[in-house]
Amino acid sequence: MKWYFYLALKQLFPSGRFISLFFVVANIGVMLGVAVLLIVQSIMNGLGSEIREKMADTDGHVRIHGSGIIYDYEPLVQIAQSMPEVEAVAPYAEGLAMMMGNHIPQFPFIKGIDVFDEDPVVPLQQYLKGDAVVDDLDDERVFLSSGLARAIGAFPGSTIELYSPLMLEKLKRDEMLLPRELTVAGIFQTGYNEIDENSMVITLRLMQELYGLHDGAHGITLRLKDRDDAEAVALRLNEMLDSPFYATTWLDRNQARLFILNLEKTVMSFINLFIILIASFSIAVSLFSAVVRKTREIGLIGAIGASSYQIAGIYCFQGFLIGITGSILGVLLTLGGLSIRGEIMQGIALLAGDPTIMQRFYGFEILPVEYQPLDFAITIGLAIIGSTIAGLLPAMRAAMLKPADALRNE
Amino acid sequence: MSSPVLQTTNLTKAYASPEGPIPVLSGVDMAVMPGESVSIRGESGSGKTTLLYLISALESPDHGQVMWTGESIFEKSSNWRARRRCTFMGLVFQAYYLIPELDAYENVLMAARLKGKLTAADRQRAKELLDRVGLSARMTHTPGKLSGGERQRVALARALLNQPPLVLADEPTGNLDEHTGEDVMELLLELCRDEGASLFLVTHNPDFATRTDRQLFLHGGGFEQR
Repeated sequence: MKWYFYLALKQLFPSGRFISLFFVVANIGVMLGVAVLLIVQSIMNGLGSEIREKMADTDGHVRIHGSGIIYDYEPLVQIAQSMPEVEAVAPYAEGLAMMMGNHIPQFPFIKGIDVFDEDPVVPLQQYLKGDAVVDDLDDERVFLSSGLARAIGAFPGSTIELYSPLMLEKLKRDEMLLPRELTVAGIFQTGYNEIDENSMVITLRLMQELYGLHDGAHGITLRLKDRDDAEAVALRLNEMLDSPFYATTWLDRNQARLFILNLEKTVMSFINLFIILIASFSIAVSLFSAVVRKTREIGLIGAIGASSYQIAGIYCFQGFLIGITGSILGVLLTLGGLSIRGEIMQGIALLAGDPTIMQRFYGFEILPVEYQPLDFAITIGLAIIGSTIAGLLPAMRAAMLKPADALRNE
Repeated sequence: MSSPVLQTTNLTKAYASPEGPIPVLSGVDMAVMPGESVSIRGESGSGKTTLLYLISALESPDHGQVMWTGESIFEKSSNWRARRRCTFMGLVFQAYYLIPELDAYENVLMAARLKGKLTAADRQRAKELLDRVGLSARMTHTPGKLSGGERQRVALARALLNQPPLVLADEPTGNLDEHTGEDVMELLLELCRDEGASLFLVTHNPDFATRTDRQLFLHGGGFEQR
């Protein structure tokens, strides 16, 4: 081992003592910086993945639309089914409606689905609460989102009245169409707030009736074997489809939300990056004070034959080493801390006085986490570079000391 | 006849000050022969330490030359001088300058580490030298656990580890009590004699100076005959 590495190690792990206090404190700084950054990134990744999955699952991987009502969608279904990447296809119709439940008016987003074809495309069954099953849905019954059910105080078995836009058309012609009375067959919660807040699901047939679609639909939803193929499949479909039909992916339809998700992660990472910078500055300050304190020793090492580069190496190596060990500890703290995140969240929920708060507000009891190797590589890289630069500045000062001046230093 | 291990010609040095340059050394010529011990005395501020720093190339002169075994050192790079200093001379200072994180044995070995690769022979010699200075039982003690005299003995062992032809000592007993200083000085002279190293000793103590082969007195920027 080169002597300057040896001396750097000895300054961190002095003879007769296990470890220097400076090394411990500096490592804690880097460890906390790395851990906070990785924990935030991993949770943001987990939340992002969860939201993306919900988006793709509830929205369908690819949709084929027209310029309005598609009265004959069967040829489009056949085109979609001819593609090897496609797993399932289902027609849909959607729009806004007015409803009354317990004398409370609401304007939910309403989606009409084909009960037999829908579940392989959008897994509604897994979002239904209690004993409800998709097959319970028929032209007299409706599924409400959890938020909507809460807003009107509905529960399975309750009745609601549904007013459709077609009623307005009828009124113009002095005709009267009474609201449809429907029974709540079940309540669903996807975990995707936008859907859970104010939406309902009815049969496609009922939707066709309420919207005057005849046998038509607003589009076709496609579920792919691999959701990552969505863009490629949409591209090929758009080459195959004649105007006015076109295909969009769940990515296209949620572009703004996905952008915000990525932006949130970037901003949070950027803010937390300052913790690493602060840790690096604290290393620099500590090493600067070490250089000042050890001026005469530095002079002695120079006097007995060390070059200025070698002297700089002592402090630069210390910063580098602290970056490595602090990063390793930070990674361990991240993995350890996130492995007990369930217990931590339980503790927070208990402190808040409501053990179900996480489930009620966020739709999960345990924080979703996703580890991305690139995040780890960048964070560790930044921590090591930051620490090494922190060591470099005092190292330069040490290297610039002339042995004679250093030895004369009082 | 052998050539000098250390030689200076017309060595001149002045320090800058707001009032103008303060001359310290003016044309100093001297030579130290192999195995010879030379003491330098002088009043405080007479330039003893400056002379020692110049001949060890820790500082550069304004004029003149320093030659180590005939090589003019200020014509070489500072890195060359640093590398050469490591094997050419051993340095002993008044304040010992041991590295506090290293124990006595490791402090001695630092001289060999700086030279390059550490060998088994270096380790063996470090142990022998510590034994010679009476510290074989305290090799694993850090400087904080050693007395002043013991620290200076470790510094002596370190100075001699690479078997340098020249030892420069700057008031090595200045921080020690009379009795301990006597012991350390005796040991320094004995070790240099046994190792065949030349000794360049800066001291205030006339008694110690008389024990060297040649005594020089620095005054007014040059040597004075006494």
